[in-house]
Amino acid sequence: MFSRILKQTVSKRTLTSSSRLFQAPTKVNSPTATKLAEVTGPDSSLIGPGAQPGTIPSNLDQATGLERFEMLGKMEGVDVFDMENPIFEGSGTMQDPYLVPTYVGYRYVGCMGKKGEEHRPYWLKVTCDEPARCWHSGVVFLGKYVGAPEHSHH
Amino acid sequence: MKLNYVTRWTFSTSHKDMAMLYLMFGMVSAMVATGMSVLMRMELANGNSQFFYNNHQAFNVMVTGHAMAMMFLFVMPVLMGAFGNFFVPMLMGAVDMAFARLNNMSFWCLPPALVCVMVSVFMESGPGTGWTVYPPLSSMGSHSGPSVDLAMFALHLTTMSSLLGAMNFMVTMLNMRTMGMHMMNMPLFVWAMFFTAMLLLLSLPVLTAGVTLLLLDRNFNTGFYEVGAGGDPMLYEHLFWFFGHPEVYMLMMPGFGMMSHMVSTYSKKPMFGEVGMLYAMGSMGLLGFLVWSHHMYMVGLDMDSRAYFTSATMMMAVPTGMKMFSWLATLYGGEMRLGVPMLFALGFLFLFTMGGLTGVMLSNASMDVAFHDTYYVVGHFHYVLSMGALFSLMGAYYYWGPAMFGLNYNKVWAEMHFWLLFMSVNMMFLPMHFLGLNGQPRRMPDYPDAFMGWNYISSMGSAMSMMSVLAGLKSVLVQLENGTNEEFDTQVTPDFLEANLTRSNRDHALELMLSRPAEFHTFRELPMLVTPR
Ligand code: HEM
Ligand SMILES: [Cu+2]
Repeated sequence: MFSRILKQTVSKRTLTSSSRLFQAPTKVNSPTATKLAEVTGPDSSLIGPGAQPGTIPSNLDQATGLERFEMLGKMEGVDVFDMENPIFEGSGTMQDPYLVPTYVGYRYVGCMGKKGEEHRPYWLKVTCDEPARCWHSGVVFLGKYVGAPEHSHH
Repeated sequence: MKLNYVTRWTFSTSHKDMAMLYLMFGMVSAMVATGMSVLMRMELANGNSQFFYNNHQAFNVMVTGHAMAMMFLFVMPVLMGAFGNFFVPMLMGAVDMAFARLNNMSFWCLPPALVCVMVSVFMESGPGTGWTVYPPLSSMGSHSGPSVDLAMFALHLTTMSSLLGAMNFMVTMLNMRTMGMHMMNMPLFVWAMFFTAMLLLLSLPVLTAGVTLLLLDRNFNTGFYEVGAGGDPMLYEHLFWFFGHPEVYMLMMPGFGMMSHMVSTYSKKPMFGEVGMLYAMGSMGLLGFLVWSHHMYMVGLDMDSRAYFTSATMMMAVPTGMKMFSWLATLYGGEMRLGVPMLFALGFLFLFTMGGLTGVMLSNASMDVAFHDTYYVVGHFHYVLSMGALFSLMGAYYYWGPAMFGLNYNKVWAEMHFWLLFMSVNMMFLPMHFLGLNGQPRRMPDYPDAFMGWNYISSMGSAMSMMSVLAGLKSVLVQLENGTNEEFDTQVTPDFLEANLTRSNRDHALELMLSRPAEFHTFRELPMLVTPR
């Protein structure tokens, strides 16, 4: 990196500010992903193509990184960060409660009822100790500690 | 980390701290403004000069100061600044406002605005223009000296504050909702603040343009409003009311939102027609921009305009009615609890309806010939403002105050506050309708002796309102000094389906189940709203 700047400084633009030189194109190793499956990691596959000259860029044209990842997911109907529903385990009964991931031992959960029988939100403080039951739909939640074991307060 | 006191309260970026600053500021302005109103009522307690030694200009200066301090420095900062700041992020599970530092800047525009208003009132002969500041009365010819300019600066400052706040709120609501919370899941108060922010954003620039042109006319020899120079004062009136009418809805809308929360909680029922309420607020916001000339029926508008503005204004009653009936339908069949917030809410329902009815009377261009610029109008807007906006504000203070401070209020003082306020505002403003129907003009410090009776009663009501302010202050003081900790008295904010004792484990409202007061960082982990698979 440093040697590259030095070389350019000396060879091309002796008096240009370094900020200009930092903009020198970085080496692109993986092509821009246009589908979720083409994302190769947190790398240049998540750098948008940019707009064609003379056109106004869309968000998708210029988004990079996590934002682009989220957009690619949205286009395929995949909620990449599980923002809609981060609950994966359980079926909501007393025997098999929905397990609510938490890093602090409790989490506020607004229950809107199961699909097809939604109700207005009722809020529960779901802890890891005791199942919490929505008093409208009867759905049961229980906290599941997912943080590092030494941070657990239990 | 503990911030030093001065740092915390001057440079704060926490939405909860900012809300407290707004609340304290609003209380100061409220007392300034109430003081001025009492001076006006003392003057009007009897015919001839009672208090201002025939200085009619001084009376009108009080009118101006009262209106500006009440609307721009009390109601707006408390509804938007205090309750909006505190509860909008909390109701959406957001960690703070989107632009936390901007929030600080919005607030610190306000104290200078209060200073400008006060200096304006005390300097030379003061701004005897009313809050509408119509030229030519407000032009150099009738108001030389810096008073009117300072009042304009105060408006500019409050405008900056509100615009920054509005943008902040909108971005917060669009971007900071917690996991799973879609726009349609936002509680009604948040929606109310959303529409309020839209109205602010769209209407305030028009006011700024209007008053800036006035400043230019006054100080730089332009003639935008100067007939002799080819200008037209009508331009000012249109610019002013294109802002002014949406402004009255900005004063009302947050109150509507809070009303829904209070009515629902204290009837132990979900709000009836939540989506309808939302659309009602939306259409009020839209219609609010289409009715401004109903304030100007008497300036010589042509017939067609008056016909249009009459019908458009009457249409406002439709969404208003929707809201009223939805609240009533929420009460109906509910298990009503007459907690203090509910007293204010019921007071609101009854009295705001009265204000709405007189509004529909005023909306007739033909009837406004008789009503315009009389005390009837003053009666109307005090029923909607002093009983509508103020009651929802006070009710929300008692509803959310325990969550804000972690301290419960004293019910005896709070009820005393309510009943004194209820009686005093009715005693003060109901007679104004009779006076207005009989032709007593507004913004006049004297009247024929025949008007004495109702004026006297009204002034006694004003004296009583002083007592309600004192009771309110005492109530706040008792709450802050020896308010019981919330676990001691769980009946203040009932949760609506279960026993109160379970409040901290489950509730219909997120803000009511958090610890009291809320932790410095409200949510250690984002709450989530789910429809489990
Ligand atoms: C039902 C809906 C309403 C209708 C139909 C209505 C109608 C009117 C009309 C026609 C006037 C002008 C009267 C005149 O100057 O001759 C007026 C004045 C006023 N209204 Fe309303 N109004 C309504 C709701 C509200 C609300 C909700 C507020 C505020 C919270 C409000 C605040 C005011 C104020 C402050 C004035 C006096 C402005 C001034 O000249 O200084 N109104 N209203
Ligand atoms: Cu209006």
